Amino acid sequence: MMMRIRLLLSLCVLLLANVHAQAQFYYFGQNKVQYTTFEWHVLKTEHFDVYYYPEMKDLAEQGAYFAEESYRLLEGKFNHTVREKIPLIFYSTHLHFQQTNTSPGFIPEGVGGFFEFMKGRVVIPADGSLGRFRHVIRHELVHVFMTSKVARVLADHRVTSDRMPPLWFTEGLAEYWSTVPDDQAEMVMRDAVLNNYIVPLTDMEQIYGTFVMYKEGQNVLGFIADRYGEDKILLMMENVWRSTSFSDVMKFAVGKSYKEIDEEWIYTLKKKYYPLLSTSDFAGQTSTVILKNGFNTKPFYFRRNGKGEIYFIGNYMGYTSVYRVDAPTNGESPNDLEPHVVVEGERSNEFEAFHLFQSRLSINRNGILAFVTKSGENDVIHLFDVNSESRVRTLQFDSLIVMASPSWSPDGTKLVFSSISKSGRMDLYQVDDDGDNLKRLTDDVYDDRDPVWSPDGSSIIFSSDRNELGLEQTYDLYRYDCAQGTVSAITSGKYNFYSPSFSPDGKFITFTSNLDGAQNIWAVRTAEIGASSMLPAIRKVTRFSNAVFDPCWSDSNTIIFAGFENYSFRLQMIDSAVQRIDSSDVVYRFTPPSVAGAFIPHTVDGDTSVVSLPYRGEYSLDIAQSEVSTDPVFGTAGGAVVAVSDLLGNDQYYFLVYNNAEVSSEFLESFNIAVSRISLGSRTNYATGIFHFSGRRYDLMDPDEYYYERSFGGYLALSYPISRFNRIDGSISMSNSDKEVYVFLKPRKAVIGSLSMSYVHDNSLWGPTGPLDGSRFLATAAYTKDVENGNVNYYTLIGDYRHYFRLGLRTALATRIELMMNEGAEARRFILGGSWDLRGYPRWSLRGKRLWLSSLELRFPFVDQLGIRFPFGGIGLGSFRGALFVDAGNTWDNEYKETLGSVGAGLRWNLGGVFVLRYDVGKRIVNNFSRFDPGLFYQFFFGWDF
Amino acid sequence: MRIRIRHIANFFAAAVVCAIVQGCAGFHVNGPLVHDAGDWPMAGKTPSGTYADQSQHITLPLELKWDYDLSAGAGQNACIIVDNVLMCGTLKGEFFAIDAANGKGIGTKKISQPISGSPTVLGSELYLCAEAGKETIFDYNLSAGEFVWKKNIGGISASPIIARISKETADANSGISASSGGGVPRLFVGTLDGAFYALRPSDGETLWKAKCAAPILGAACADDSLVFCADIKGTVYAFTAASGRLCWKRLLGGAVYAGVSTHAGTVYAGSRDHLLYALDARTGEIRWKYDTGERIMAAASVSDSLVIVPSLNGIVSALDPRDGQMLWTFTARGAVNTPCTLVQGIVFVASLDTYIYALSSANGSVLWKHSIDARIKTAPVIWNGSLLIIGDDKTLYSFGKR
Repeated sequence: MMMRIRLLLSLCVLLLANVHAQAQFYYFGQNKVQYTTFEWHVLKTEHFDVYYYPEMKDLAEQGAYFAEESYRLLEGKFNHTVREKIPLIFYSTHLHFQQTNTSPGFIPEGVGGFFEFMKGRVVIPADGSLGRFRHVIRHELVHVFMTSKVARVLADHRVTSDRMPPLWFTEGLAEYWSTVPDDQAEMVMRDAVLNNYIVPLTDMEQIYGTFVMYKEGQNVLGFIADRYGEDKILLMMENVWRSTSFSDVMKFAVGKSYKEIDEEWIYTLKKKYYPLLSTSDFAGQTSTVILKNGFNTKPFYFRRNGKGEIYFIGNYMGYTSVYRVDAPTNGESPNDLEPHVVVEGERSNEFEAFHLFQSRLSINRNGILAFVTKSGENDVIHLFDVNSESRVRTLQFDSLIVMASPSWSPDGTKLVFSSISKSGRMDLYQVDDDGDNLKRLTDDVYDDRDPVWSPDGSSIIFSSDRNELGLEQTYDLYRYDCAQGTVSAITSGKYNFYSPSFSPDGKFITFTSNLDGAQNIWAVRTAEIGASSMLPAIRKVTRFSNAVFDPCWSDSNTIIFAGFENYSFRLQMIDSAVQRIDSSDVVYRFTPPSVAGAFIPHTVDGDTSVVSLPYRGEYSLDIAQSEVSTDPVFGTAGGAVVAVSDLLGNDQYYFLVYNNAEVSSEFLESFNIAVSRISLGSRTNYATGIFHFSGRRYDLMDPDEYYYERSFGGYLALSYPISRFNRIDGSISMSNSDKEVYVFLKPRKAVIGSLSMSYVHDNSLWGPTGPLDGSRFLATAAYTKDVENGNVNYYTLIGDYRHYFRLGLRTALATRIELMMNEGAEARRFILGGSWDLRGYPRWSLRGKRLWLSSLELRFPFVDQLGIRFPFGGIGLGSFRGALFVDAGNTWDNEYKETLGSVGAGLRWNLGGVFVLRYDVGKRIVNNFSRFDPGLFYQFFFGWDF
Repeated sequence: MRIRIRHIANFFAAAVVCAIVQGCAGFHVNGPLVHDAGDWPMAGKTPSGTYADQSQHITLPLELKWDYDLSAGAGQNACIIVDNVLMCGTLKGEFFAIDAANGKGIGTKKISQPISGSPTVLGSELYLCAEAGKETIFDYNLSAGEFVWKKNIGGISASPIIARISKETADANSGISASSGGGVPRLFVGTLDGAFYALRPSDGETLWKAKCAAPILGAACADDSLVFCADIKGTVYAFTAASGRLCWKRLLGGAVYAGVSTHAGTVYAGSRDHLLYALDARTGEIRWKYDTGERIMAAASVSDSLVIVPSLNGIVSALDPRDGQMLWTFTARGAVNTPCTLVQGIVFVASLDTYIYALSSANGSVLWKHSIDARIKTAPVIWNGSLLIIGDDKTLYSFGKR
């Protein structure tokens, strides 16, 4: 019990304490920057409160319609209703979504939305596609319904609420009931089956939380629905109370256990996909593999100094960057090719994030590479000279949030690109290379992507969902006539056509399509486009069994592309491109040849039952916890902590009250009260608070010092993020402190004022147990003074630098140097020792007003996957990592005595991504680092690597 | 001081023992139960499962008379009433006896396995079924307050029904009389194993058993000679009530999760393929079918002039029993997954939107509605001018005139 309240109090101290304590805990971390000020409104429909900002009102009204449409569908599928209104928080772009405070962590690029069950919020960004917007809304609402339904079933049976279905089921169902199996699902399942990495339900914990798990879950539920009826899925949810084993639940509902379903399902998959190899091949078998490892996407060919080069966006070590590799020539072994980093991404503000699978590259005749990164608030287009390897210019437009796939005009003076404005619409834009004359080419609700300029400059070909089936995420190719400003279709029907690319002579356009199954490369003769009222015939160029992406032409009759094979994106190439097109025996003619009109999205606009109101802040409870504790030294205390925050997570309030009076006369003065507000809604985050603390304390920094202290005051803390990687922190506090040390019965009165400033840099890239790449730096200066009596008067200086040298994909050498100093009257002491800093020494055993510490640590993978199989199922224990380390340092007050150190090895075990267990074995080094202590030390603790 | 502590300890020990005894001990009602035509002794009210009682007159509007905390959820059919005693099972495996007039508890009994169907009563014998466990069907004598017999015939989700076979036809294995006046009673119930049972109520002996293709989740129904049931593969079966001989079976377009009902020579079955099927009770031929536009999870309610079927899109359809023509529809704000109840001129509809609606049986107009602030997924029961419903707030509500 004591431990719990101490923990609770320490949390409050972290939040509320004044600066001279705060400086001890103030540390690293990257910043979620609130670049944009949103003026939130609420659209109230029958079942939803839709939160949006005025610039995206049309999109919000369309989203509200999709939500109500999905609600009606899911009400029937789940045989259930969700009684409370569901908060839907919409963002018009992913970059705005990444600023949300509804989730405390960073939102990765691949997250399309989430359901947060504490407040029941659904948070969804648009990405320009109304079809995907509808899909994600429905996906998240499946989670809402399932959570509510299963909770209801368990409550009805009065069964504990820990029997939620497994993640493969919840995510698989969210996909299965929100969309038809799409290109991605087909691509992943086909690849997994043909490359033998399909994971059965019995071993699903091995791929817990991965994209493969989502798609396998979707597929196996589709299989169960097809073979046994979709009702069985509902029956599983309604019988989740029967067992803690979901396999048993499945056995009851479907009549088959995991093992039995696995046998049927995997056999069916094999029967479906194995025959493909008789008529098609993996690209890796019949084409030249340029780069096999890592993620290699969006290739673009350029001839420089007489030599062919391929520029592409790749990710090998966790950071996405622009790479270059020499184009293979005849006789050259592709195995010799090594990619060269052209633009190192995701370590600085200017190249903060590449959109790995979303934006293509383009290089004009002068060697100016155009590419997109996130930089600050919005995306920007960088113009980069590949000859001098220097940035020429950056194009940024306040009105355009997300940008993608810039393509040079033939004369190299203009760019066409797709972009999402604050309204959430994805349209095509044209701009001069100096950033002037921005012109919007399309202006509608359709998702226009992958534009490419024709070699004669007369037209722009692009992919768009402006068709009858656009809401089903069907994409066709279109031609924009630059002179007339008109758009006409090149393809039609229920298949997808992406990534157009012209041959150097302009006679052909190649693109990808799933027209006959796997996404292959197809081509159309440009002469046939618009030659008659008929749509042009298209010819199949490749016969791959796996999916390929982003074909681009070289100047030597080859096509370079990215291929998804064996769960990696490879850079590959085929030769004799023109001959392949001319000799293709698979020619597809569109029937009917006419083009159906584009879909018209529904909206709740005009629905009189729907009202829109400004958002006023809707607060609800986050935490309410009460505690009563008793301890022979600290006596009895009781109290509670309450935290509330608003629906958007921008404002958080924390209230702490507890009392530790021992006699009734002390009751009033023994109240410990703290009120704090943390505001995250604007770029400068701040926290303010007032507090009154009193009671007996044990000072961690000064051993054996027990004292009574009564203090009250207030504080203000500010944090200004310069970028994701750098910030300035500052705080000021004032408190009245009456302190009495028990042993010496020494009273001390003080009115303490504190001022602190810090600069923090962090661009580290983390592995499973700690940073593996990048660097972290902290510099803090603080001053604390008793403004009334002068009893307390000291300054603080802290410097901490850590650098991580990447030695391999999962291996790194980590270094650290820390210097800390408190100087003056009643200066606090720093603590050292233990698994987090100076290993081999008891935790916090070294104390002093000055501290230095240096560490060197080799981090490497030890065991990749440890699993235990029981007769009733398996448990995945995840991976273990290893470490070899050397530490040196010490603390002192006035006289430095000796340098202490240690050397050893350790194991790290990440538990569920939130907790790391650490075990170290080593030898202490003492006597100014000159002698090993006898024997070994063994330390077991928790915490991330430094 | 020691004495005081010992007294306190004794008090708590006694309280624990009392709680255990209370939980395990039986309860009883005074005297044998006297059945009345206005009683609701089984799911659907009668063996034909029509959820209709044209003898009942309800005066609107209704007011809440009392409520009772069941402490757990209830299945689609949960409560029955005989002789002023309301009996109800819960998904936690408890059944309650409550004074229907004032909502005072009479007694509680645990069987510790979910009871998702309603009990049924014959005389003072209460029959109830459990979804799982060592025993799955029970005969509890309400007067004696003890179990008469219990046995395991596989998990049971459906509500059992009792129909009477005349002595002669029972002996001759040829027929059944649905009248409540006389005859030999038989207990019919389908199981989650896909078996359909006819049991002798007095001792639970299996008189006959038929194998169906899939689990049976809904209540059976019976006419004057046949008993009907449906499984979740979508097959409707007709057996002779006396011998269990299969007369016909009809595979529908989708699973049947709800019970079936019969009236005037027609069997009604709602399916997950959105269709309500009207089958000839003698041959199984489809007379007509009606598309509700969504899955049907509730049995149809039937009178001479109306067939009422709800579906998960919240639409309640009133059909002409002769040809299935739609007469009117009503749309609730939420799904309706329980049978509606027909009384004189009124159709009661319970919805997941938390409302109980009273509709005019003539045109579907809303005569009265009331929200209990909890989803309603248990069929309304009408008794003696009162309306009884169970919300998913685990509370039994009684509405009527104060």
